[in-house]
Amino acid sequence: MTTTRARERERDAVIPIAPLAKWAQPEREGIVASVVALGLLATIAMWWTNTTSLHGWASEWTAAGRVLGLAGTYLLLVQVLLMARVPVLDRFIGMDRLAVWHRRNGEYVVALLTAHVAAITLGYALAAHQTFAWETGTLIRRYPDMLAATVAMALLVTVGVTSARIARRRMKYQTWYFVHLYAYLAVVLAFAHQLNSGNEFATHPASRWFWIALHLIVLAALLIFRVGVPLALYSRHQLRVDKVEQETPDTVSIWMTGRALNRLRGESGQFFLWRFLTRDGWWQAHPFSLSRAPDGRRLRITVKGAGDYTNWLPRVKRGTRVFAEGPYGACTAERRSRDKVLFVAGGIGVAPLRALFESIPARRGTLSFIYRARSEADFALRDELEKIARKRDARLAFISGSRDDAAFDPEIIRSAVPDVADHDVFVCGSTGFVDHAIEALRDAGADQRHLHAERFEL
Amino acid sequence: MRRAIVATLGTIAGLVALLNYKTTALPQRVNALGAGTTPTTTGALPGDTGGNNSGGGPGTTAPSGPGSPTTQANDRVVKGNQFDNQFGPVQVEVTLRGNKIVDVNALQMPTDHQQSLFISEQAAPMLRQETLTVQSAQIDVIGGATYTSESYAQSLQSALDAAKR
Repeated sequence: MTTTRARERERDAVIPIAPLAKWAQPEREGIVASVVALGLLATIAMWWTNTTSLHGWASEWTAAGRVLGLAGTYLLLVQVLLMARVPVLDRFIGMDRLAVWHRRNGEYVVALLTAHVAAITLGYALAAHQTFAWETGTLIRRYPDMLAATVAMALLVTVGVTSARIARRRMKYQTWYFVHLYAYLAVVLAFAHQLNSGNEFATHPASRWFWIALHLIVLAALLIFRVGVPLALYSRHQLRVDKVEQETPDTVSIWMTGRALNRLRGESGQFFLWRFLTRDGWWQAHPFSLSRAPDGRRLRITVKGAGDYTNWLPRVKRGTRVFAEGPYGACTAERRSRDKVLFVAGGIGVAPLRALFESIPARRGTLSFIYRARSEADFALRDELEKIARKRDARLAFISGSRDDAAFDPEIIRSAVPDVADHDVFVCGSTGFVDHAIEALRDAGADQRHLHAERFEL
Repeated sequence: MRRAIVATLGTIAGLVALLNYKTTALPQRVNALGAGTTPTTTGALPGDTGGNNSGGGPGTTAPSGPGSPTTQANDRVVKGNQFDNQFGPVQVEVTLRGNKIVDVNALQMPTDHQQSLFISEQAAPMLRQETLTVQSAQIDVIGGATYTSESYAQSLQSALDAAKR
């Protein structure tokens, strides 16, 4: 108990944030969205102050192109920041929702920047009384750093196309991943043409510094949270695979040991991005939740085979070095603000909830757990859940049925937990399951403010 | 799909609103670099700039400016040197009647960038007016066209020097 307290204190000292229980998820997302919008306004304000009165189509297209470029680039930086593993963002919004933001914003960014290119070229062509094609050639050849910017645009479009859902389904994760890395190169290549050809920056030093500062902030966030912090964690704890255990036919648990694990932050409900340093697996990092409360000596994750990577994972050897980024995930005991707690797990979503089920502070008889899986054979960690339920005098319900069954409806929740309205509810599973469960829970009377969800992208 | 439509329409509406505020209906467009009475607007396609002083040298005198209705027989038209700044080349020719500056014509003004073109269009008449008022190259810098104003003054000074006024 003392060690848990000490760990909580240590973490709170690092990231001082008001208690999250105060706001529901939509409110927290609203706060972050407002901050992003403020930055966007500041960006448009640069354009506003720098734009003299317009007259004629040429100047209007050019001005439109400039503001599109500024807004698109600002949102491109936001795009990078969303994936920079910034702890504040993770705790406020959660990685799962950040990924959704990243996808939507990504589509918007590519559209804005494409429109930027088209509008500027058209405006210049009209001013020079030339064709669009002639102006395109001239822009690329004659304007400073425009060739690099053209390459950047091509890269961004490629990243966008390979990320479209239709393309993703036909592509290996590996291909998509490496193409996606080129987005960073695009940001770098596009930077010079903004400073050297961008009007806002050529004439207004304040705008210039604002822009440079934005880029530096994003760069710093990347270096700190995606490189520095994980490297420090790696050298401090030196994690290695200790044991791989079969849970169900398609689910395994992987145990890891390391040094000074009592100093590892990370608690029940959280996950790390794991990178198993084998010859063919080192380059990819995947999120898996801790399926057991960290005890200072070992960590455990539980993984269901659902793709190339998760089917390969059970074959990692004992002793394999593990590079972990984290902890992430805001679905922790900290979110809870009521005595009674209900856990609702869908499939492998059981992993983080099992850890919370074991470790969340609660009086006897105040916990409930509903676990849904496809069939009886698919209830991973069932024995452990039953043991914990006995120890903590908790209600425990297993529901089996295929995903398409309307097996999970408000009636089932009400019959299992009649007083669901008085509970904090933690929901975890695939996006489809979580959305479905939240709807059912609200119909059963659960309070939006006390619903805490973590969605797995399978 | 609905989200995409909303985003597209929202962006277009925002853009149109922004542009709408910034658009002022001018009674008529100022002719390109329309400072002078001569209809000459030399060269200045993007990129075809020479180095400093690559334009016509000073002292090119002619008995009369071409086509200028106010030109009289004893007027001298003197070209200044071309001066480059980061936005493009600037070159003026000055029309003198005795020692009096009666006209200044911008032969070249920066047109490389869209914005430069508009700045040039707006600044050229102001710089001309300024010159006719102060009757020297000691003209004030036009706000928003700092570099162009300086190059303009330099070119003007070189023309006046060449005319040994």
